[in-house]
Amino acid sequence: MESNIPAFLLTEEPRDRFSGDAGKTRFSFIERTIAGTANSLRILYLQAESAGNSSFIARLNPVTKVLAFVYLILVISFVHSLKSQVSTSGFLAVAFLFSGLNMARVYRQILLISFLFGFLLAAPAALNVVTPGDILVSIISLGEPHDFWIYHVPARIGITLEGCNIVARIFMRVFNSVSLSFLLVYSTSFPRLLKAFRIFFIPDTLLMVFWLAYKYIFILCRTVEETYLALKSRMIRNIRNETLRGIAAGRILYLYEKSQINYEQTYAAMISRGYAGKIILAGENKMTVKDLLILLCTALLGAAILIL
Amino acid sequence: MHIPDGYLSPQTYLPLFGVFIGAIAVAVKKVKKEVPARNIPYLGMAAAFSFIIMMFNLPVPGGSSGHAVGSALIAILFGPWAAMISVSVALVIQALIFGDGGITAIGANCFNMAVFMPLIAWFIFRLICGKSRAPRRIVVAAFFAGYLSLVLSAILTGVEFGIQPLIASGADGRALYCPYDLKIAIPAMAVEHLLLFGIVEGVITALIVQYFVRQHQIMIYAFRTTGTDE
Repeated sequence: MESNIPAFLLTEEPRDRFSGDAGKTRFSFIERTIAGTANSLRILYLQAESAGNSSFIARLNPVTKVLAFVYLILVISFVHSLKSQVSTSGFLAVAFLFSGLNMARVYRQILLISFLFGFLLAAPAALNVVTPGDILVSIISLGEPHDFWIYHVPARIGITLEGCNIVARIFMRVFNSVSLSFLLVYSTSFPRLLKAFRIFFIPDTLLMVFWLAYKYIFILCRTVEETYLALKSRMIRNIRNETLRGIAAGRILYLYEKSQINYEQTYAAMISRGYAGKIILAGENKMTVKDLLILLCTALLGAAILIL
Repeated sequence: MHIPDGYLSPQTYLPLFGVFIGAIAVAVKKVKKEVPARNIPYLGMAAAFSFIIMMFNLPVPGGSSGHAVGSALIAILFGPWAAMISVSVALVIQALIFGDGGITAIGANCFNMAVFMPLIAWFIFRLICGKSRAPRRIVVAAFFAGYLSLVLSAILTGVEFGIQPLIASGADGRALYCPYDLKIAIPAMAVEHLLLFGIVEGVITALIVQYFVRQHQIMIYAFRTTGTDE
């Protein structure tokens, strides 16, 4: 009788593919990446899909949300005063209260991203080497200033007030932008969000590519997770880096083939539903008075932030 | 390489967004010509593949691991025009969902990593590879396509950062956006990509292309369009 067990499970791995002792495998870093991304996608999908009609923000017309989002993102980018940025953060926190989202989880994510991109990247700007000014905290004293090539290093290196202001401004901009985009994507399902972007005259064809890519990403993520689970279950000891590289490259080829199959199947499904080369997405609900009022309030709020 | 929000002034991100939109319009036209009816599912698949490639860690010689930006690899596998669209879609989804790269900087990020990088990578790959199908030459071409395209894109990003204090400063002369000038931003971006990230990108691109060449050479766009055996 023919066996249904895949051939690779029946053949013994050559001994030279392994290194070190049995026990802990070196798969953890791949697993962490895959698990982390897959988990973020899963949370997003669940949050956005369950957002439905559960909260005030979720019930708003996606077009209203997208217009308000683009307007406020531009306002955040144009505003330079810390007072205005802090006020924006306050407003966004109130909006999160009306979104029905798990604020602790979302803010943890926002703070992590803001710390990485808003603080760590900008932190050196607090030093007088980058931003000259009155030193608040001295860090190193070199005795005398040094000049080499196009660079000048002052005798005393320290943190300046002006530098702190710049770092705080960049941090707040990143924090507010990430908060705003998370508020939008976590309170609106992705297909509805994409349709709303038609207001900016983005062709339906391109929106459809986004929508398909989003769906494929979930399918491919699940494939990657399953593949690694299958591989991990076979690893009883460390394997050589060379072998590991071959395995990872092989998985990418497998993903590519899987993507091709998905694409062929999707195309066949589209043809069977009468696709003739032109995509027209169904329109969103019409804007109501409530939506217009929200847009007016947002416009006034943005103006207030700019004036502050 | 992903520029966050708050670092680029509107004087920079708005024109770059315009250039990006123009490039994407050309790319859509080209892909529609290459795959007339199937372009939508094809691009959707390519974009999802780009997204997954960007999160795929690979062990590199020396014991560490890294992930590629993937634009060079996608350009070699799917061609430069499809790469432009698919990497852009992946970058937009990354920015919206993961906060990786800013919303206002989407145009700049897409221009650097989805327009400039695949075009440069494709040019370098074709320049080194020519019409040859010799595996070693293909792998070398893939390495340099990945390495140089990333380094050049990083320098371009450095220039975008570095001009901020010149074009957007307050009444007191202090930077309103990225505080690092050209003499800090360019070396910072160039050195780390020349010595580390570029090599990782090159190695990963070469490793994957090598695997594809060994298993399914016909799947590589570059060899579907032209090429003769050496």
